[in-house]
Amino acid sequence: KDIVMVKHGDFKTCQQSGFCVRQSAFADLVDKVPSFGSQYELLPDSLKIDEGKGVVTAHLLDQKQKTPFIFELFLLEHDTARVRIKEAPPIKPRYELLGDLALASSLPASVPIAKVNRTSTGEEIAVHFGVSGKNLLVLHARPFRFELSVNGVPAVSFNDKGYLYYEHSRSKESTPALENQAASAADGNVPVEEGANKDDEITKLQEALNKDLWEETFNGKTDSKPNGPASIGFDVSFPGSSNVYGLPQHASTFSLKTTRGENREYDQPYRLYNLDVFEYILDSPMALYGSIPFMMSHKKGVSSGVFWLNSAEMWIDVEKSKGTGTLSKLASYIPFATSKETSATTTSTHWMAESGVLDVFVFVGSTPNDIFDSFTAITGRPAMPQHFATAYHQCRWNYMDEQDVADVNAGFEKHDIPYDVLWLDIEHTDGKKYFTWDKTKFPNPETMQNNLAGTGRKMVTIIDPHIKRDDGYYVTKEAREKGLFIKDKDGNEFDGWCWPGSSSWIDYTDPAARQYWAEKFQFSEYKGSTPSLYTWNDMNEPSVFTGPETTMPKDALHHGGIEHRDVHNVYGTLLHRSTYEGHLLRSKNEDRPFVLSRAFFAGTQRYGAIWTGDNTAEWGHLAASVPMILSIGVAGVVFSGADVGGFFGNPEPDLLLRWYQVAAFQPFFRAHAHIDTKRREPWLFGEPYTSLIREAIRQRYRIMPYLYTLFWQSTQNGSPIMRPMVSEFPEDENTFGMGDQFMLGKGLLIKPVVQKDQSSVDVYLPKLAVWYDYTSLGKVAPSAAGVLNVKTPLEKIPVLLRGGTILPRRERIRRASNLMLHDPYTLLVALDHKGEATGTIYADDGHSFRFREGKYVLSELSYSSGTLSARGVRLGNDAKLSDADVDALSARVERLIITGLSALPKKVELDGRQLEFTGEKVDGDVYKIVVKDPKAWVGRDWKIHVE
Amino acid sequence: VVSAGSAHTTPDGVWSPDVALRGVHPTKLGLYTATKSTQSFQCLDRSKRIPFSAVNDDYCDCQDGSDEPGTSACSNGTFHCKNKGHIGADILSSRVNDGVCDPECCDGSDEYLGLINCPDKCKEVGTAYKKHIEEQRRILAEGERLAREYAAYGAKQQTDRTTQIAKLETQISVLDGRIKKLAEIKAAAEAYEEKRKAKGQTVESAEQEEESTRLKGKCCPTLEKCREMLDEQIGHNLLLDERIEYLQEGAWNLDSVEEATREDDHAVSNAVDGWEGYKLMYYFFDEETVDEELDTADEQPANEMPITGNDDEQQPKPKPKPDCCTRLKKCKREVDDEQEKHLHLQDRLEALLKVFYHLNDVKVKSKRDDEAVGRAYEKFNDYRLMFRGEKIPPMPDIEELDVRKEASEVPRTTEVPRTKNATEDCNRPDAPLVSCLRQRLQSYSKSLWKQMLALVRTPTAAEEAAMLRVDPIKAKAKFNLAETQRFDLQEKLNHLKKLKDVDFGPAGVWEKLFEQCFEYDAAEYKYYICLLQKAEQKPKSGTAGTNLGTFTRWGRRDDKLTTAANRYKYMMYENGDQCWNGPARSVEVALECGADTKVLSVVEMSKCEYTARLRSPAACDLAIPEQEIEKEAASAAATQSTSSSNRDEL
Repeated sequence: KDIVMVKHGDFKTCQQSGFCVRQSAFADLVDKVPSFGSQYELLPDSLKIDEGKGVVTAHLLDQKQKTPFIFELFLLEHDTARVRIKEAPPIKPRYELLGDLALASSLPASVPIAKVNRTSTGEEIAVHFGVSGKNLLVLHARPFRFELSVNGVPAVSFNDKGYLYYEHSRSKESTPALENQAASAADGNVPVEEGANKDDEITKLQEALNKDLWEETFNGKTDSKPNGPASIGFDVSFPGSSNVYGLPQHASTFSLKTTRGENREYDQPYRLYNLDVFEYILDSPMALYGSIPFMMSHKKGVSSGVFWLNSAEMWIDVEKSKGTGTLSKLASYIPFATSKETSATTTSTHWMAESGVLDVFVFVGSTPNDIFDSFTAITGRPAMPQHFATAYHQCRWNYMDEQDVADVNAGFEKHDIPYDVLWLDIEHTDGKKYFTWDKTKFPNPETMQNNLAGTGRKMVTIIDPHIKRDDGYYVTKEAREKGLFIKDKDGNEFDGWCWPGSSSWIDYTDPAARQYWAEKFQFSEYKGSTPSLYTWNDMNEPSVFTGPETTMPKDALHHGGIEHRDVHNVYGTLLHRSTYEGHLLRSKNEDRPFVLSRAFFAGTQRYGAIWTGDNTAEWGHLAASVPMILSIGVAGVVFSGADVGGFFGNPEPDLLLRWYQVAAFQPFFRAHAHIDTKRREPWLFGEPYTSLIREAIRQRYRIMPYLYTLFWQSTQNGSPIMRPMVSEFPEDENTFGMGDQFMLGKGLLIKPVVQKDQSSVDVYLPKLAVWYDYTSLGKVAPSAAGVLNVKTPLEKIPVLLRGGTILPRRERIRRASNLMLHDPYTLLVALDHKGEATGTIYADDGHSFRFREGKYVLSELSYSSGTLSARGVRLGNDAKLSDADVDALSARVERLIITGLSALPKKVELDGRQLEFTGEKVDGDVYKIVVKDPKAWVGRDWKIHVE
Repeated sequence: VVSAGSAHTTPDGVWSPDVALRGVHPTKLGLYTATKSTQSFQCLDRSKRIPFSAVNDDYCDCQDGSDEPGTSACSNGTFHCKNKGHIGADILSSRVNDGVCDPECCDGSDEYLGLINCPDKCKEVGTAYKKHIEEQRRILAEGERLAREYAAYGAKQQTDRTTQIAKLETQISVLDGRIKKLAEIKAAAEAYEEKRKAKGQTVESAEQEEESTRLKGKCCPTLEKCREMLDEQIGHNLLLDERIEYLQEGAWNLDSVEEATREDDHAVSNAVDGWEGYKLMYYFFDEETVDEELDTADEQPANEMPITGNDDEQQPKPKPKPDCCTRLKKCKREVDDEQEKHLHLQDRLEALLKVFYHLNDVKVKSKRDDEAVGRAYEKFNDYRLMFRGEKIPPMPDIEELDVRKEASEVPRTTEVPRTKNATEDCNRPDAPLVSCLRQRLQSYSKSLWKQMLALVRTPTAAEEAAMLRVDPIKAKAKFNLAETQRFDLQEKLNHLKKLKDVDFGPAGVWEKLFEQCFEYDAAEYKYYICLLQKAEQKPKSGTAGTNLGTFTRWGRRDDKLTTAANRYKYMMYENGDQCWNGPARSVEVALECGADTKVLSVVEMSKCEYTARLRSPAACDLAIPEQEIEKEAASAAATQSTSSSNRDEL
């Protein structure tokens, strides 16, 4: 079968990207020619330290180019160090506005320096900061580099390999100085070991340093590069750490593969450049729809993270090596450091961006959770989603008309399958003019939405950033009048091709454009929209069918004369943001927006959900969805999911079922399909598939109180909803490289079935915990190595409940999740080794921002010594709610299930009231009891005694 | 506003029997009522006993959900709304107190917690329902009546087709024999023509010249007599033709006789064998008209009959009026021909009758069990009734027409002796048919028969000569005509066979609408569904139409979903125009019963996969249980009374 896959030739390799060639050549020269070395020096005399504000500044000199830079170090709360290096002064200004667009509106406060040590020469400066000065940042002046350690354990090392290379701004006429430098180094002074071949190689590398400085052509499309070279490269090493994670979006493993050095697993660096990739391939470092220049690493006891605030095209090499780099140097400042190192592997990464400035955040902590918290403190906490948005979504390109919508809705009703949102793709518009409706197919959009709303359901329409160049289209007319479109390099309205044909793109970097866009969502503006209509932003990489690599030319011009190359990766997020703001505007800040985006960047979590883009109905894509969502999740974007069933192609019913079974436990749960595929609504495959898919979706609705609580927790600390094993078990080295199974919150472990006819699956269960089968609630017995083989008939994928968890559920599955908000809870208590468990329930009205005014219920539950205690808690300044308020936002517990008891209790009591219960012995020699209707209200304080 | 824990109890928190019976189906009320003997409730699946106070206490105790008919506590239960003024309905427990007024519960009884106010609409729903059900009944009754008509039509068509096919098949097989022979004759005639042309003379020239002018004066009166004789003879031959035709019609049935019957019944076997022989010998002359057309193509004298059509030089010459002698000569030839034909027809009739005489002896069982035998026998009986007593007059004596005193030729009849004995021998039931026939045939010097005969045995020199006198043009024309005829018959047969293989649905009810096209007007397109034939989409803009498929089968698109019960509720049109990046176009047509035939909708559900709804009497069950109509109507009425679009509910 001839399957058309992504054409590699449509997208650049590093060798076809000028700056990637130059930066890679620089790194290779540093490696191969010892005297080439790192060329940056901190000038000790220029050093200024403001201990109170936690700021260190100094001049940095490029010795070869003789160009000056300014070095700035800011120490922040959340164990964060921000390092900024800028040209002083640049010939051409660089783009420095990204912080305003991508970072949280209020950044963590600066922290004072606890202690500073300097060597007598002033060439090494040791800065202690953080709680009791546990973090130590050591700056080295010559060559310039720094290391950061936590409690004496090395965590991060910057410019350890000497790859720092900042292409200073220049005029085209000036001779590039570096070439001469490098040439002279190679010609005379450098002892070359291997003779002629080596010479050739080095000569080639030197030539490569000058590749495509002023113009670059790919696939017949030329980038005019009027500002010349401006790329930046540097290396970051994680001493003693074998794994790095993050850097979404790639269809790759969770623990990133090596791309440099001998035995590298990929022959290309990971690329970050938001692209619309048709039928992307798996297990590849190629760029996809979103880019987050954030990387995390973890070793026992120490976690760290690096975030480069830069929205230009980026390439990142990953290399693993034996040893601990230059840690011996660090050891002189931390005498006890090396003794703590057990692993001899160091992971080094080389970051290369085309333009912008060097503005890097380094985070340290003891677990990945610390890093999630720090990173989202910088890039913003995830938005609290609407309750409905965390339920199941039904989408297809396209539900064709109002009748089709009614029929699909009726199909769900008839087959008693819950769903919350029905989606309309581009065909619903009048000629792909967004904010309009195809009048023949959708003559009565309000009625249609209201019909859905009648059963608590919502609708989503697609709104893309390309605007049809049609004078009769009001958006075109208005945006043109206001000058809100992106311009081409010559200053004319950029004209490219997308769904509607000839189109222009709104310039969301312009505050006026964002404001304009937001206003378009008002009910008076968006005709046919109602309060139950939400939005989907697609093609916002941006996708330009006629552009280089299917996107916007880099020399296109944005507001203020900014080149597209500087803002490419943040563009899609600015649309996402503008739409989010539009939703706020239309409801006067009452209703939480729900906006799905395809492109994403650091900070996207502030605006809503993303999905992994146009995947394919293949088992491999189902498998890939897990590491992809994990990678996106650790980079702050906690609300994401893959198209259930696969976008392209037709899934076999078993693949579709397996997809539903795992997606029910993933943050964003939406079925979607390409217009060329067969219909695949859940009931179309006959039995047993209809029943099994129904059950999979019901699993989702059952755990929605748990899931909603996870979302809320994420708004507090950035913890992903779907978590890698390593973040829940940071002490268990077996989990560090694991990306094919995951945790949903702390309590559930899910391992998908990703192969056809797979009758059993091995699951790794960390020994630190007790585990229960989620279905039988019996205790499972993994092997000594922690492996449990789980039988996986069609109706089952491995889902394990972690001992120590109290998991809130709702067992009354209604047709839509908002109809369940008043229904009683079932509490599932799974005891750990000590016979204890804890859990949290968060509840609010499900849709408004009143939770910010304290209108929420937060119940902390704990079970120990035979007592289940519930305690309603309030945060910060939130005053206590009245009982009536609590009751209105919450519900009673109708059922209490406890498993892991060593014996059947004699009685169960609440406030002296005896409760009915039944009990039985389950697998693993433990007892499970079901307590009938304790009539205990979630959010109030109560205690249930099990004797 | 929801208040704590009040769902299952009265406002004062006390359990009451009314609450216990909430949502219980009327037929099950007894099971939910405490009696002296039953103080506890038994789950309807008998899995458990619980106190009556646990019924409808908003906690699911029974695995089957039967303890909570009035609440949403059990995920697998149902709630019964009484719908006073209308018809009671069961809804899923999950729809109880979910804040939605379910159209099925027109009394609003499913929403008693006050999450939403659902007014009692049963009165208006009930009225609408009654009206709707009456209308529905009327439509369905009309649909069913038409369906029965359609079925009767279909059945008749199918029977007719079976008969037709049998007949055509026989005709074709006989024609095949004839074509083979004609081809041979043609080849022989053409070969002879070649030879003759080489010699440069016509075969008949010497003979004709000798006859020319000798006996001129006597010719005219005799010509008149000849004409009378000719008319008389033609009349006789027509009578014979009629009888032969009639018997042949009966005899065709013998082609369909089952092998088993032949084996079982010697008489049948004889009849069939006789018929086979008959066809072999005689069926050629079924195309007598062809011969006539060719023979009497114009009035030109026989001696001037052109040998080839290429003789252009003779065409423009004016033709002189032939004299009496020439005309007499021609007439005599004609009489001669007719008489030959008469003899032939007589033989033929006798041979046919002999076939049927065998049928006199067939077993009753054969006539009863084998339809073909039965029909053939019946026809023969009819024949006997019809032509009983009617005699064929004797042949006039052609010798009277001889104007010459002395007979220049030996009378033809003496060429081959046709003695009484011989005739009688051949009339005996056990006469060797083929040899008898051959014997007869030897008497026809100029007929094709002779030529044919030459092909089945080594011809005598005279026979060969006669045969060689066949005009190659005629032979070719006859052959071509037979070919054309065979082609037409085959076409007709193929068509019928194709139709016979078409599944016209239960009782052939759809044949009535076969290949009829029905139109559907969508926004940009017009769709055409030509039943059991094809489906098309034509853009209104007038550009070329798209083939959406031809009828391939009954059942669902996904054939796995086809069941015995729904097979004839869907038809599939497949293998239409290929889609770019998609499948070949196809249409699944869902059928529903109605009083008229109409396409109700066409939607492109998936890329190039269309779904249509079509209403037709042909989709009506020939008998639908009454309660089905009621159920359908109830659902429709309930839905209509609300703005909900959930048409497929229930």
